[in-house]
Amino acid sequence: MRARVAVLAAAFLVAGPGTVLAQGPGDPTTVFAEGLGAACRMAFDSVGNLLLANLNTGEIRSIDPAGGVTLFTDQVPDPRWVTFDAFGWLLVTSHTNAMVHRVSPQGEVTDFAPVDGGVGIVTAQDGSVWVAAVDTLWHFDAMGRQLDAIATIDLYGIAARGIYPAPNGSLYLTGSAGALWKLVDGVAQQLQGVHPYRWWGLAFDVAGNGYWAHEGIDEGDIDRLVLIDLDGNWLNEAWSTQLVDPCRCVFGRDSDGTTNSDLYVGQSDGTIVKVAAGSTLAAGWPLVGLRFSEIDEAAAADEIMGVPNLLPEPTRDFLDVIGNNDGSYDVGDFRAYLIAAGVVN
Amino acid sequence: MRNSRIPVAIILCALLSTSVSCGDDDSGATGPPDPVPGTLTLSLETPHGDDGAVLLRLDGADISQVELAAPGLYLRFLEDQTGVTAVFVGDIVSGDLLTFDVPDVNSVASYAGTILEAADRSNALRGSLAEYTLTVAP
Repeated sequence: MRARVAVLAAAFLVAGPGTVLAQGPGDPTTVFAEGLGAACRMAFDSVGNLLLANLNTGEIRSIDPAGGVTLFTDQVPDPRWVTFDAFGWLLVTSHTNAMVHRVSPQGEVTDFAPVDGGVGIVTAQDGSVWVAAVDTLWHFDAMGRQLDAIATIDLYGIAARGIYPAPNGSLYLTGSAGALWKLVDGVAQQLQGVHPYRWWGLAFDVAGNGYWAHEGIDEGDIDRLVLIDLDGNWLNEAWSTQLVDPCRCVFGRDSDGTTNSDLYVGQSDGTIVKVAAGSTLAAGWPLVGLRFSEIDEAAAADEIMGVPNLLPEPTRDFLDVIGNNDGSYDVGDFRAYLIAAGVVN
Repeated sequence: MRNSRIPVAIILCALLSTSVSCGDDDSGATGPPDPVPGTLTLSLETPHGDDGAVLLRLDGADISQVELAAPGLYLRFLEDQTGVTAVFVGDIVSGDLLTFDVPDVNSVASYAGTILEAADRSNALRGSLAEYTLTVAP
């Protein structure tokens, strides 16, 4: 069935300008918000608001579920990409400052880690943070200490700009040249070669389906979402076609922070659209891999006291990182957790 | 039965030191005292002035009613058949840490505490626990 849809879609796509495109499973799209500048840098917070950074004005605005827009901060110049960290603070890459900034829920801006040319940024399952900075892929722990730096251009020929988590534990990378890589244990594997599109926005669902924004560059290119699998194989070349310069895909989050199955597509024309309700194949894979607020205090304490495996290993690692960072979860780390949680001073 | 034991008690009194009481009540000389339920206190002596967290083990039978004895500290504990494991967080100083009930306070010597981990107020784990002391007393 999928193959048939793909073939039909491809038939429309190669027919050239003037052809009425077949609607894909994600169509029709509906407008969620508009008039926002290039809507290519966005992320949902833990209560369901969409944060959108404007590269040109430096404004980061918050759009509530009803579409109401408020200014969150304008204190980060040249914001290139946004995501949330494990604590629920916004991380923003900035070229002007050669810095990843961290913005509190109240809008206070601090430095997270220095990165020159940072674009894509994502929080992994252990709370660590990856930053795609064109020629280098940076890896920081949850407190902003550098863990690794992978020379992507020298090693792999990747001008890494976009970075996306997936349910198989791998990170996926895209670059301005329109190719796709999968990072496995720090080693990049190319899945797709160069295509004449800007491939900025990729979002996976929990079943491993990737919804990929293709923004046309040349005359006659088709703006669309492509459905892929975890190996980069195309499952549907025209999953959604009612788009104009799509540059970012993100799944929505409910008011309790759960990633849902509503897929939003940011477009360079300043419009954010939502694909057809119920069309995605599963709920989205969370962009924030670890959430501090979900760590159970009793489990954190009891694990210290010798009850094994109450906390997942990435959570234990995270607690060690925010504590004494000595390689194992101990009573000092538990103290740091209690302080961060506001339980003790 | 009772009368037949009196001569034995007298003889024992004569043999024992003068510090042992040999009054009319002969029960102390013939068996263990009756259990006296009550409360014991676990106290800490630390060589440091900046302890921020302590994990300890209290060994002993039939511990109940574990309560924090140091106001302001965070305490969580787990009881099992042979004792209690407890974690304290806060500005920890030398002094009483917790109280607990036992079936017989005369068995105080059968209760003992051990420091398992300690951290300072910057969360760094102590490299040595040798100078920490835990005491159990009525």
